[in-house]
Amino acid sequence: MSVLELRKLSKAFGGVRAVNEVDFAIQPGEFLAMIGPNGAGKSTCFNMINGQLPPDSGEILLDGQNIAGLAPRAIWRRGVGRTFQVAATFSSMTVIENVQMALLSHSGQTYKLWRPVAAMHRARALDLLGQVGMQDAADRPSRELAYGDVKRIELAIALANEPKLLLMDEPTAGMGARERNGLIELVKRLVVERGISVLFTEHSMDVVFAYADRIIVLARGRVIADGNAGDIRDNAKVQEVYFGTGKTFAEQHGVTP
Amino acid sequence: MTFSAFLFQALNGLSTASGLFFIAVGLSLIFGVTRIINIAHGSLYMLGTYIAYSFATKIGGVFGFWGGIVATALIVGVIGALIEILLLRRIYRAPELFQLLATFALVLVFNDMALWIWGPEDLLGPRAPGLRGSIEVLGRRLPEYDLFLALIGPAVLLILHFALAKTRFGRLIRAATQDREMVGALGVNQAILFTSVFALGAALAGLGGALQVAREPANLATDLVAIGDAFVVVVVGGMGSISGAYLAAVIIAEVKALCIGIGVVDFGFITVNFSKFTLVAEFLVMAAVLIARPYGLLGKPQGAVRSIAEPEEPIRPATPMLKMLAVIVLAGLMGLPLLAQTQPYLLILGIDVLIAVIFATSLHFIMGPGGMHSFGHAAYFGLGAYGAALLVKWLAVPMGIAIAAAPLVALAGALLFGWFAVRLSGVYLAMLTLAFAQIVWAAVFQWEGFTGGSNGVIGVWPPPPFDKAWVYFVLTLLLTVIAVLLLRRFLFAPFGYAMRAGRDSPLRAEAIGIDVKRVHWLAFAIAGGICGIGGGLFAFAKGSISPETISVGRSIDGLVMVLLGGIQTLTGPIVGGSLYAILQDTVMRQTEYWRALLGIIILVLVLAFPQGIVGAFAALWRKRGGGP
Amino acid sequence: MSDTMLSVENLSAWYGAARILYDLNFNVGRGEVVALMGRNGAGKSTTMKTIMGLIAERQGAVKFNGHDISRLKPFEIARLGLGFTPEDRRIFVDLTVTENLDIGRQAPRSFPDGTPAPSWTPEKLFKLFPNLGEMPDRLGNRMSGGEQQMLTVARTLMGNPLLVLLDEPSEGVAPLIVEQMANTIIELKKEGLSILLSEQNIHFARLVSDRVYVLEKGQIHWQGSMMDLAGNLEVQRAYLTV
Repeated sequence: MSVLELRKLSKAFGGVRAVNEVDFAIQPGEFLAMIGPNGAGKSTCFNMINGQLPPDSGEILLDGQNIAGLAPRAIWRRGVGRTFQVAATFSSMTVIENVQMALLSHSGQTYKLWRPVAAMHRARALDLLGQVGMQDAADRPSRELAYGDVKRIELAIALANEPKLLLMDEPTAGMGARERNGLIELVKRLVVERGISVLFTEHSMDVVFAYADRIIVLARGRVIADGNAGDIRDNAKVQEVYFGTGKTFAEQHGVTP
Repeated sequence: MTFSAFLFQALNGLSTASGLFFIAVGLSLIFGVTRIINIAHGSLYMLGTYIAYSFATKIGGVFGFWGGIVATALIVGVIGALIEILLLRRIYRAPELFQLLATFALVLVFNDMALWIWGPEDLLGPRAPGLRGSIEVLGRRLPEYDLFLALIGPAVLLILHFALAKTRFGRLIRAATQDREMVGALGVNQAILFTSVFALGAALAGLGGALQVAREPANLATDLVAIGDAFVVVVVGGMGSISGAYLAAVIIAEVKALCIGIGVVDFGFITVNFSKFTLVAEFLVMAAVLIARPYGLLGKPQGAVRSIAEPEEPIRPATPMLKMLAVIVLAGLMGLPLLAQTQPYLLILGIDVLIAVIFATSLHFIMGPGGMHSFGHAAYFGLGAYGAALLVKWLAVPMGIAIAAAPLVALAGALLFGWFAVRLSGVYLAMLTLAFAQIVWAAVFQWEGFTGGSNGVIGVWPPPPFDKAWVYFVLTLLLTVIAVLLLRRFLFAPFGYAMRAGRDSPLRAEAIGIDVKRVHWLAFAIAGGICGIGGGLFAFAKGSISPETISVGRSIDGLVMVLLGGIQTLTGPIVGGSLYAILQDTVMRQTEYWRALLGIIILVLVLAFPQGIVGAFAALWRKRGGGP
Repeated sequence: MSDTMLSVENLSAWYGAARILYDLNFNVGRGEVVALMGRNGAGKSTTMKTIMGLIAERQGAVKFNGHDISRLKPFEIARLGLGFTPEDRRIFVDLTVTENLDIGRQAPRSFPDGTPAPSWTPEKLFKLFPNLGEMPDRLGNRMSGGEQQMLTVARTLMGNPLLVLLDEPSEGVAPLIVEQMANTIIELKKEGLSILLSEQNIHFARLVSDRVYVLEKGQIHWQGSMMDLAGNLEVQRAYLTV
């Protein structure tokens, strides 16, 4: 069974159909990229899956159960982790406290009033930090970190609830080329070890073609292509709306003065 | 009540609605364009009544009355323009808390200015020339002036609506309400636009106040009553919607009018005097609207409310030095009773300071780590104080039980109000909490039979051995230490971290399963409950309490204490509370016009450190480290 | 290149503590279309906002049409004839098309040599953007992305600018609209307007621009004529989304 399945998912804003009857599914352990031009509906799609936006219609099935319209925290409790396009931490906390907070929430201890946090889940948090290579920074204020490191912390936080599905909105946005490959390799290794499925959006085609198991292309709210790197690269429709052939312009340039 | 009496009251309500509309619409317009909540808007309304009174009595006649009303609107408009140019223009980039404080400082200054010019007595203007009579409506006499008031509200609504829709000025206001930066980038001088909008809003408030001159006496308490009402109207109607402001004004005024109209009803098993429930009814309307439509009847969801959060250091357990310092201070305080034999006043001041520390620390708990800027923390202080005092008065309970009950009463109030407050954020939360505090204040004021009204509750003296000042001081010290340590403990526990996570990034907190609203709600309730301890102690320390205990002034005192000490440190409110209580005691009581003095001090602080005191130091730090 | 309309020297900008731009130097001549190219986050939009005075923390000299505008407020800059169309369009959604245009209205103006700059009226703009002419009373929030994109350009033109900062006009709009935008830019250039364009799409930029500056991480990494860039696949691969 698919980990996640979208069925005729739709959302409109003021008459504009941002996402229009989108269907697709993610298999266990799959590393699925969602690409498309700006305004194609990727973010809207993402935000419906993570609960930030309620869909107008359609179903989002997580392990066969419809989670459409649930609050983000309820979706997280069902085992969906996420990272944000613009990474950030809880800026008033240290690095390890950020991870501890996620672990506390995962173990249902958010409302505990007495025991100091300092000693709670510290070993597990250190272990998670170690996996993303940030153990040495554990007790530093998180707001002092470089952006690439913040991305790693976010990953550690996202893994704290042992998710079965990880949603990553442009995981490498704002990073240099070398950093970018380092991060995505880390993600890939961690999720493969755990058998986590990943759905990610990405603008960097090197990353998409090098790492995605499968690629779906969205344009104007619809899925226009679905396949592996080779299929997508050669797909004429995708070339037209996303990669661009320059054809449109070449022709048009000829007719207009 | 007969149907005709019902209709008659409804008509009467419309004339009240016009007054509410005039303040609320100006407040709403100004907020839309400048993003500043002008707490002094009620003061402008109050000044309107006073100035119109002077015109009507000093010049007199038709010209003095009607011409005076027009002149008043213009004068208040000019005052508004001056406020914008001299004060607000300098602080548009400051944290919103400072902007709110600055406009509140104006409230204090204007209030004392009115006291100085017009004196403390209520001043009722003459009746309106040409509209002195009354007409018969449904078999009752309705004053012509009330009818006039009922009509002028909708008339002004229509004019405003037309002006906003059809004039360039109106288009600029609507455009700037949505995106003032873009309007500037298109070549519109925002400074002029802001000043004129502020002047317009002020003139409307002045007009509303002036029109009341023949109906209600000019009164020094009007400013805060009016702003409290205006906040409720704006929250119910929806920020930025002028039609919403009128609709909400009508609903609130009608609900109040009907409560008065219904009067005493005998249900057989119980007799209820509905006229005592106008404020409760107002609250219920607001509650219902906020549940159904969090952004008001005709309002639109607002984008992310701006909050300029200064980078904050992670919290660390107290260092050995801090612990040592705490022990020394405590030892010093324990020694205070010895000194008191020669200077008995020292203990009284000491008790005041300790109560201020409880007040400030509990407010800081939600303001700092919680990020909720409550402008109505006095409500929970008052609930604690009244809870304790009324238990003594009506049930003659011993002091121990009364003081134990104080935090519970405050907790109950904070649970109720907090449930609504956490649904909003930023200035909306500030407005709502202030409105709640006003409602508690007014309920205490109105419910004379139970609370003693303006006379308050007297004879709440502690029994022996607590009647000795030093014993009571030690009790207060003990409870203060417990309160402060409890709050501190909570902050280091998962709950405190969840609170800060919700403040740092609500989106991310929700994304790791934290129910931010619920956490903040409970935090609000805890702060209210702890604050109630201070209220209970206060009642027995003074032996009597009055509605003054819950006044907006006290809420603002709390804000000043927290800001003085610095919002980002856990010891800040302790220092700030102590400092402020001593300052208030020694300096403020020197003059009759201490409010104005306090207001001026706040203004100076805000203008000298527009980025906040901590922000000023942070900026200094960055300059030294390079960059612009 | 004849007279310089806009020149930028050692321009830097910060968001809080984070430095976004590093000592940029470039210029735009009269009647020239210059493209700032680079990936998302390269600093293109920040450059435009900084020129427009919308970024508080900035350093460096910006001269426009002989005026030093590096310390002016946005409205003062706009009144000198520098138009700005932001990437996120920022249409006034509660206002109609006509009302949006009215907000941008300014008096006609001339170039320093006395030649009148192109002067715009709603009627003239409706000819340039026929779609808008069909919906003068439509509210901003009832328009499609492409229509909003046209309105944002038209609104800026109502200020009769001498130079327009055009931030990613091809982003997130349908190919058909992209073609129209390209036509419009060519049209405006013919009218004598100077344009500083920010763009990721080389096909679009190639069609309309004379010169190019390539940005990456807030620094200019390459500059030259559009023709040279079109032939330089190495630079395209290194800095552009290809």
